[in-house]
Amino acid sequence: MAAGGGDMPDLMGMGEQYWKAWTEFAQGAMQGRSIDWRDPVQAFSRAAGPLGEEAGHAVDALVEQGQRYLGFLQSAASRMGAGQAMNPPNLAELWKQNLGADNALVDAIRAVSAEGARGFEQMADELRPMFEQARGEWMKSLSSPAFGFSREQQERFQALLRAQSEVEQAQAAYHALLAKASRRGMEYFEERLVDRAEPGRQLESARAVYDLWVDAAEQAYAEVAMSPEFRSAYGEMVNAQMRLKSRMQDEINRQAGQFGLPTRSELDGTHEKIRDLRREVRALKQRLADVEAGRGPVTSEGVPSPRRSAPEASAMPRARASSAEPSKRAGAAVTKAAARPVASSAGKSKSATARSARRQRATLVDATDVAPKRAKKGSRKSSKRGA
Amino acid sequence: MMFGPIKITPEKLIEEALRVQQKLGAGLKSLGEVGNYDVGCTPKEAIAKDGKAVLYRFLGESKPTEKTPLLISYALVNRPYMVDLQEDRSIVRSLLAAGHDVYLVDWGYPDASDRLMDLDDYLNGVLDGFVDQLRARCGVDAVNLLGVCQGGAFALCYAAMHPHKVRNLITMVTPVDFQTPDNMLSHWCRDLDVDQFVDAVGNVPGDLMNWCYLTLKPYRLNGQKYLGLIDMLDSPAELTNFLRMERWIFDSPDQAGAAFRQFIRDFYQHNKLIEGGLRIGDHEVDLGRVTMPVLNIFAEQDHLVPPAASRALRDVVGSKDYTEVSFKGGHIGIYVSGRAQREVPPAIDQWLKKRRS
Repeated sequence: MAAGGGDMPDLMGMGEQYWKAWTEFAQGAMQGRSIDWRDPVQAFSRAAGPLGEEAGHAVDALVEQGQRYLGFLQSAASRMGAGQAMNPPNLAELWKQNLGADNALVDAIRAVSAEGARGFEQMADELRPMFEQARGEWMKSLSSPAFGFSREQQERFQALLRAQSEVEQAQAAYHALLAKASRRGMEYFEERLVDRAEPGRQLESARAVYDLWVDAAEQAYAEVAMSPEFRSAYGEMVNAQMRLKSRMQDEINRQAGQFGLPTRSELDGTHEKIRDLRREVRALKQRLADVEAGRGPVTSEGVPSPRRSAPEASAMPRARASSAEPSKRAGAAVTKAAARPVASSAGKSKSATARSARRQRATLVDATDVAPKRAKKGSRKSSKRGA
Repeated sequence: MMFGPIKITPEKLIEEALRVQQKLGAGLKSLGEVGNYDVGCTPKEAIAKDGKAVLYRFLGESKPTEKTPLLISYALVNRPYMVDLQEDRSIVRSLLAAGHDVYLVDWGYPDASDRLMDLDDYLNGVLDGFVDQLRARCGVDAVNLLGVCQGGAFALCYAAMHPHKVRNLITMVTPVDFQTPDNMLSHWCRDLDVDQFVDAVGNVPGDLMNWCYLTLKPYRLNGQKYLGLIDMLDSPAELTNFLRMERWIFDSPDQAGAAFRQFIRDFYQHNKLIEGGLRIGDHEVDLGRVTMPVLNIFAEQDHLVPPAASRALRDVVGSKDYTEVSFKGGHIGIYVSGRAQREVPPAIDQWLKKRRS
């Protein structure tokens, strides 16, 4: 299987074992023995073993949702078996217990961050150890008398501590709104259940109950997320975190500079120079092409006019790229092939503009290979299951 | 239960659990049979490059019958192989079969050295260079430009800045009014201090962009979707398709800081594309100058680019030949659903062929 990395388990063999185990399990369930209906999902997860990026993430998420869903199935069956009425409040309460969290939305959003997607909270978590490590030194400095350089340093440290405090406040405000959406979601769920409590509109499977809850929860979340309070809280959560990050970067820059290490600002300066040079090269190439083509500048209406920037396009070799698009995760390079300048393949032009454009490009092209795609940026975190 | 919201017996619940377990059991076998889920199915050749951007030409089974090249400008976010995901889900393949000469701008994966690339570099540098390459290569004055999502906003800007180089313009799921009341992304970024944000992060991580998109509908996109995967577990083919989509969803390039800053500030926060006052490099972007024929395709259930955000184009575009196509589906379905394969490429093909003289 394409997704699998390393030694793949014997899935066929495991499938048979799994099925046998499940048959025994199902028989047990029918006989009313006390077993956890979620066990087979966990068995599935174990049997699937470590998988590649996409499959690993998908199976992890499936297992998480499957356990929730089967747990609900079991609880509902058990209560119904005991003769308890499954009226809307009971069902909503049962579902809430099954979610196992007061603020389901926080969990849901944290789950989004698990694989291939990293949110602001995770970014804050990454800053925290560095911050905590330095906090002791800052606190020590703040307790010293403040004169001259020491005073400036103290002001910076105080600002850092304030910035961290603002991050915490902003995150708390954001979470409070998520909690509000969670509560409202449960209210909507119950309301929707009430709507279904009439013949012809009743839910006929636990899966339908799950879907109804998703609809209710999404509705509540959308309402809160589109509110002015949320917009403000979301903005402040991001802004506060960026203020802290910037201050920490400044501090690291300062320390790196003291040790003669390259700093972010130096790198920024270098990148600016590269960008400016690149733009100048474009402009010069364009001017050269205009001169060689013996034509005036081209306006946006199609007549000659000056242009701010000319393309730095290079002719490519006629490489037939693999039909399988390499993704950044695959980290593959585009195939090289014999060079054949673009200009030689240009078709006959019937218009003066096109002829002129072709002449212009013929002066610009040089045969180069396609740059390899970016190397894998960093593979997705390993599967939670496999970890 | 006779009354109440559910009409289920404990036995039915057990049956339901059994069905799930049966699917899980079959899933183990299917996982072993999942085929190759590489992405991008049509052979293509690289024609030109500029920095990390590459201009590709797709190679159809027969020679194109249409002279005017069709250039696809995709978004900077996510990867462009979505338009050519797999054999039975490829807008590109259908357009090639209809005789079009199809090209694609692949913006690549920006790294730290690209963080100062702004929209002027992308549009008046890279895209304009590629358009000139195509004009020269194909011997035409102007190309047909197909912009997708953010790439559609870019195509509009480009067409406004260089109208003589665009013969026909097609926009797909393209935001034009960035502040419609139902636009959650827009709502969230309105109070963002984008200067501070970009100064702090440099390039905007693709993983962070993903997180933002997935948190638009967290229960549906990170929960319900995967529970639904259970239904596909007994079909290796469906499982393969699912995993291919997953690959695309999580394959998100980082965003060049300067371009992101400008896009958030001018498009989302100040809505300049529709309100006016947008400048890219030395050019003023006035959609009134988009006078070539325009085909605007939007998706009715699009949660990323609400239909109203796309429809706004009709009131501001300068073209007298403006057509709208409303697609019954979402932002992703418009590329890859069965309905999309039946409806979208033929709509583009027929619209273009009517305007080729």
